[in-house]
Amino acid sequence: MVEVHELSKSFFDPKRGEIRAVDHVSFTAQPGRILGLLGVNGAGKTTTLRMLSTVISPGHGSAIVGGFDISKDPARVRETIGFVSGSTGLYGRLSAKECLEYFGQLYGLSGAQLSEALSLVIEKLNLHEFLNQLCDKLSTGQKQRVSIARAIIHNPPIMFFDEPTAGLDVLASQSIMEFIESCRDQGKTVIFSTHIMSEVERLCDDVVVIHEGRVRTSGSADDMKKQTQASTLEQAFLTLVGYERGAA
Amino acid sequence: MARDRRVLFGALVMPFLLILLMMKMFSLIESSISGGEATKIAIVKGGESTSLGRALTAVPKASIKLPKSVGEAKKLLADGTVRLALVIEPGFDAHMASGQARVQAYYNSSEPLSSLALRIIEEAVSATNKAAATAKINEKGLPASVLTPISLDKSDTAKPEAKGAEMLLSLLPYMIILWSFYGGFSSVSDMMAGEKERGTLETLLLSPVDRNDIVVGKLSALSLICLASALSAVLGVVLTGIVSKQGGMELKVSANSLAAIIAMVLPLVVMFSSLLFVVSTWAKNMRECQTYLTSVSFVVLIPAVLSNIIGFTGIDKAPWLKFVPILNVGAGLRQAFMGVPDWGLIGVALVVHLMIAAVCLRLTLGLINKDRVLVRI
Repeated sequence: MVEVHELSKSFFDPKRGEIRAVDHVSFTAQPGRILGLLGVNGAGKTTTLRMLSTVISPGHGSAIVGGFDISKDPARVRETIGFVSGSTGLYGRLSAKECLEYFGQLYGLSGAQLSEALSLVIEKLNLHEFLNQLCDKLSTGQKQRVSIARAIIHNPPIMFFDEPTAGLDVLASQSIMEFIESCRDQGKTVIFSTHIMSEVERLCDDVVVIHEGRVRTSGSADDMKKQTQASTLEQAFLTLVGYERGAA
Repeated sequence: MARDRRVLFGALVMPFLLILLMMKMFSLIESSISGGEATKIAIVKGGESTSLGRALTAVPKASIKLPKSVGEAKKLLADGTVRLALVIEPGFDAHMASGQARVQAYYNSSEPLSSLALRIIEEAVSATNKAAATAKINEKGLPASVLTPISLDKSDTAKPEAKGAEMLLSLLPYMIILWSFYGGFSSVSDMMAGEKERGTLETLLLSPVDRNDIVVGKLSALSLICLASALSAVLGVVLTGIVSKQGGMELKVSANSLAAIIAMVLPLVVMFSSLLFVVSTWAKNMRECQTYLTSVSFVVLIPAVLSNIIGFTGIDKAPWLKFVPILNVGAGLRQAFMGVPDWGLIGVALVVHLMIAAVCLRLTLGLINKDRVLVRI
């Protein structure tokens, strides 16, 4: 489970002054469910996930991830989560297998334990055909599959997906979404950040709409449509973020 | 590293090859000056039969040409056929007897070989003067020693390690310092700035490994590359055969000197890698990192160049020198290669470099925990 309470983060920009990237965000993600963080680019989704994964520290507020406080016990939080992002990279001069072995070792796996974990992820994500190729030589879709394998090598109970289908073709996107569904089926807690409505409608049990760093609403996709009396999730979202035709 | 040819070449092969090339070049220059091709000198026709002309013809390093006129001799000098044109006046030997003989030398001071030719002429003139003076003294029944009342006896106090290795003594410390720094140049921008740019640093930070351990691990790898690079430069010197008496340059390194060299190079390498690493951690991408590194390299280059010429100045024994980073290693390495390591200087240099390295490490550890440094791209 992930419990987020009044989480905030500000950055200072010499030209623009203080920027409130995340402003008192609260939500709860349950095991066996997918929570969607829905928002436009720059809404604060990635900053929220970076705080939850302890890559950056929160300016204010708290969060408990898998029973561990992100401020007090960051190393335990990182052991508990898997993080997949469209922007994280792979070491180009390592083969896919070497990359997975390396990260397995960083998570404390070795010997038979590491071999077993490797076999599992290779099987699960069907990495056989390019396992010994250098990561630099892989296609975008293949790289993303290796990235997922890297994130789940230690079999974490909590998964964060930050726009994981960015830049992928329809087939690669489809396989990623199937994987996210399989995480829910295994009882994992999943937080999925996106700005694509169709992905939210297909995957998410719960939705949190973030706009300009703040939570605008939370609930299911149907709740959002009812709340805004919109026929589609896209219309509901536009209403919730205060979009006016021709204003952009 | 085996897959990263850029690092492999930049840190290991380049220092070795450059040293090899440089030493071969110096060896060629040295041999061409000391025993290479004869220096071409023109003596205007008629001058060759004088006592000076005969003395010059007998010089093995000189090849004499005999143009018919001064104009022709000057032309030969201008087109580079000869390095010096000499006009010996008519009746030279008769004028010499009265102490009024004159010769005119035309040469080009901007050409080293022309200056070398002038030196040959000066030596010949001096020898001819001495022979004439000796003859006159003998005529008067005086001993030849009247001409040289002072006799200079030379005793060389240089250690056997340093004898005949002047060029190496100024070059080696410079090369070791230079490659200790530049060895890490090709890989450091990749280590932090490059990882930020490619998004791999975030994956590392997502692992349970402590950030301080990540910094120490990467820094150790960088120090190793810098050290390997410095050793590759030294290996270049050893393998070119300079150590084994090539080109008149010989350098023997005792166990004591070797220990001193290692005691200086290790902290230097740690300081350089810490300095490089803090720059890479601060930079938001590889391009920015390389821009900063270019500026930093000047800070390193100035004392490194000074260390190259420190032997020609009087400051190599100045007390304050011990506290100047890099320069103190330059002076210390020179002394170690000469066989007289100054352990006091080595101790101070070790503390100075480790202190700078500690400051840089502290800065890096601070930066890797700063959100704005980590997430800006």
